Amino acid sequence: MRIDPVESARFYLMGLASLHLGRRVPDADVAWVLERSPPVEYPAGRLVLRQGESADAALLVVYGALTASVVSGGEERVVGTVGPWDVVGETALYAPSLTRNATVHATRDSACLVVGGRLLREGRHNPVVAAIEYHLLHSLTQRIRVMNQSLHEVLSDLDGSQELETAPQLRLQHLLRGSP
Amino acid sequence: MEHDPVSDAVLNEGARHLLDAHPHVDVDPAHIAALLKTCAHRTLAAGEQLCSEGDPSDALWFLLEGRIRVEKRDLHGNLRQIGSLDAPTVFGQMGIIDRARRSAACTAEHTSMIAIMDRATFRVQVRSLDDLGNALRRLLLSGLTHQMTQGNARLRSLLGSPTGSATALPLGDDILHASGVLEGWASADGPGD
Repeated sequence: MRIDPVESARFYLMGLASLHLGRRVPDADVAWVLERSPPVEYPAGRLVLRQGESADAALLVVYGALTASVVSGGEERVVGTVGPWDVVGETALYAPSLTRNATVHATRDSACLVVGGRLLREGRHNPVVAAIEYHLLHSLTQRIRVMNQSLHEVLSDLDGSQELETAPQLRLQHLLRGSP
Repeated sequence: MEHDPVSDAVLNEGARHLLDAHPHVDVDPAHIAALLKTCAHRTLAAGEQLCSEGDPSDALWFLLEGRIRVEKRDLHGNLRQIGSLDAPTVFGQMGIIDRARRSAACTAEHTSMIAIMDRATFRVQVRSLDDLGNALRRLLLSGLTHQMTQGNARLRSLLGSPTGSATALPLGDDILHASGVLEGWASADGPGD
């Protein structure tokens, strides 16, 4: 059975507002967001983001699965998979000079809301946009916490010796590639 | 909470400087100044401690003047300086967002002025649809993005190159500092810079 991406995005945004604002938002506010940022469908296998390309928007995964990979030394390495409620590429909104540091493909039939600076500016009094921004705050905080936890695991590997051995260094390199 | 009187001129100037430090926030400085007016204000004497590692995260801080030294216990329990924060900046935001305890101790290096947004005010403002709520969310998103990108940049510089062809092995102190940058406790330049 085919999933309706618009209806899924509507439920997604209502859920997001309920989660972060603790209340139901008017249907008109959800419709306003969907009108300006309709969900984009990515069939399984489709390229979503390309490493090195300019970045100006974050992607909110409504359903499906996206896998990020990086090319390093001519070799492509998978660095992670995200799913519903996850956010990809959010640093593009407030660091627009950066380029995508990973390539992302849909690994299942997926749909995403593409959130750019214009939507956030024009919708600044819309509760759904406030909920999206709050979601981005949580997502960035969680990403930093996870990355920092991994750093501390590397640090604990150093206990008793001052220099990193090869394995922890590889873990550090892997860590750096985990945030498209 | 102690509340030192602060003039509107100081808050307006603090707001302008905060926005200078976050060029992509794109909000009216008057809204940041109004946000600062919802806060309590304190002047910390040199050496005065603001928080200890492990304290509950019950406030968000705006450093308007001065410098804060940031210290953290290493694996052996020794207190180590992992960085310092110079005005103007926002700090302590991650703990108030995810309710985790403070990951480092903060002490005024010299006389410093801070605006303190308590948890209750934060919860109201961050969900608010008015210009103040919008300004707060944008400022915090910009700050967290800066932390993330600076932390990544610091790690990349430690590892030699973005593609991983490392030429130098980072030391424990380097990683501790990179961790401080990620958490927003330090600049990417180096400990104590």
